[in-house]
Formats: sequence, structure tokens, C-alpha cells
Amino acid sequence: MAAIVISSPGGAQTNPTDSVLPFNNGGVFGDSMLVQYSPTKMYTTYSAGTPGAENGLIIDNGNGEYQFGDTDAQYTGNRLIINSPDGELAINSSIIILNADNQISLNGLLTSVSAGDNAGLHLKLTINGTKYKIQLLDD
Amino acid sequence: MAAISITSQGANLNPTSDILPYRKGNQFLDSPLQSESGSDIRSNFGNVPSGLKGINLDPSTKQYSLGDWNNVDNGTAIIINDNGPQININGLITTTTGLHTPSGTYLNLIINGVSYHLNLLT
Repeated sequence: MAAIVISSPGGAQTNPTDSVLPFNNGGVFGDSMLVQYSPTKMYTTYSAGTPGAENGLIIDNGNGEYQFGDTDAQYTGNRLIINSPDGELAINSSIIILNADNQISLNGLLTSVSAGDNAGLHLKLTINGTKYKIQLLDD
Repeated sequence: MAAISITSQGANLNPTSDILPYRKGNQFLDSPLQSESGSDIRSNFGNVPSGLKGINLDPSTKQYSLGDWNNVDNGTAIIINDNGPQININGLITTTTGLHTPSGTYLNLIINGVSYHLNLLT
């Protein structure tokens, strides 16, 4: 007598690639850009299943490091790096995009026409490897 | 008599509600990404309060954060608040010590289309 096989056709199949988060792609699970690399690290990928193809967003909770941008230097490597253990926030200075006047352009920040007294604090800043300080005023 | 084999062609849900799944083998397990309202996403490593770090994207409050935004460790994070609008950078180090003199160099900055210069001290 042949084996009795009972199959359940219901339910969904998994998405194709291990460790990749799925998304609904026309009724089936496809691979999204998000990869669960380890219990403490996630990243977005440009090639699901390809080791090292991590670019865009890296959340490395094990090392307390968070990156956003061209993290794998696929193009110019322009990215923001937050290192929580060292208390550092870095914009990759070798490839930061400045406009033709070598100016950093910000939108949406509020400015004021007056300020308080000297706060007695200076903001530490490194530009092209040279350390500077900017005097901070009270609100 | 041959063995009776029962198979299921479908995959089960991941274990925990409000958590996005990822594929591990042929199962869906919990990833660190959560969505409580369906329109927000935040990361929580281990699904514990101390694991709330990484990203927090909440269009309902117009706040978008990257880093240790919940101040679990050292609180180094960038928080974009489109309500303000403000961009808050947390965790940068300030100093009060040392002699600070003008370097002769200014940082060029454009805020909302207006040019400013910040006096850089050594």
C-alpha cells in the first residue's frame, strides 16, 4: 500500500531568500530590500542573498552603529554614521556633497533674530580633518 | 503498512503580533521591525524596552529618527521632527575647557536659502 499523503494547500509560501523580510508581491511573498542578518543587525540590500551587498540603511545594534546613505560606497559613499558607544555622529567628509559655493545647505531649520548670552560651551566640529569649535549662545 | 505523511504547503505566521517577519529556513520568524499602528515602523532588538533603538519612522507624529533615539545607551541620534520643523542631533560633545581663538575660517551655511557664516574657533 502506498504512503498516505495529506497535503494542506492553504497558507502562503515563504519568500525565496533566507533571512530576507518578505512583502506581498501580487499574492505571493517576494524578497523585500530588508535583511535580518543576525539577531542584532539589519540592513537593506541591493541584491538579496548576496553576502556583503548591504547598502542604504544599516542598523547594527550589536556595535551601536547606525548608517544611512551610500553605506557600501556603490556611488560616492555619501552617508551619515552614528556611533552611539563613542557618542559620535559623522558625515563622510571625503564625499559630502557641497554645492558650487562650498556651502552646506539646510532646509527646515528655524533661525532666530536674537540670542542669549555666551553659554560657556563650544560645539566641537571636524572639517576636512581640522578640529574647530563653534561658540554656543543661550536661547 | 506504509507511514502516513502529513505535509503542509503553507507557511505559518511569525510568532508575535505587530512584528514584521523574516524568512529563516522555511519559517517566518520575528524580525526587529515593529508596526503598532500599521503606519509606523520602529526597530526593537529582542522585543524588550532596552532593544528600542535603530530606526523609528512615525508619519503620524511626523518624527523620523535614526540611532539611539530612545536613549537606551548614550543617546546618539538624529531626529527629524517635521512638526517644528526641527532636526535634533543628540550626542554631540561640547566642551568648556581650553583657549578658543578665531581660526580665520568660517563655515559657510545656507539655512532656508539664506547664507550665513559661522566663526570657527581653534
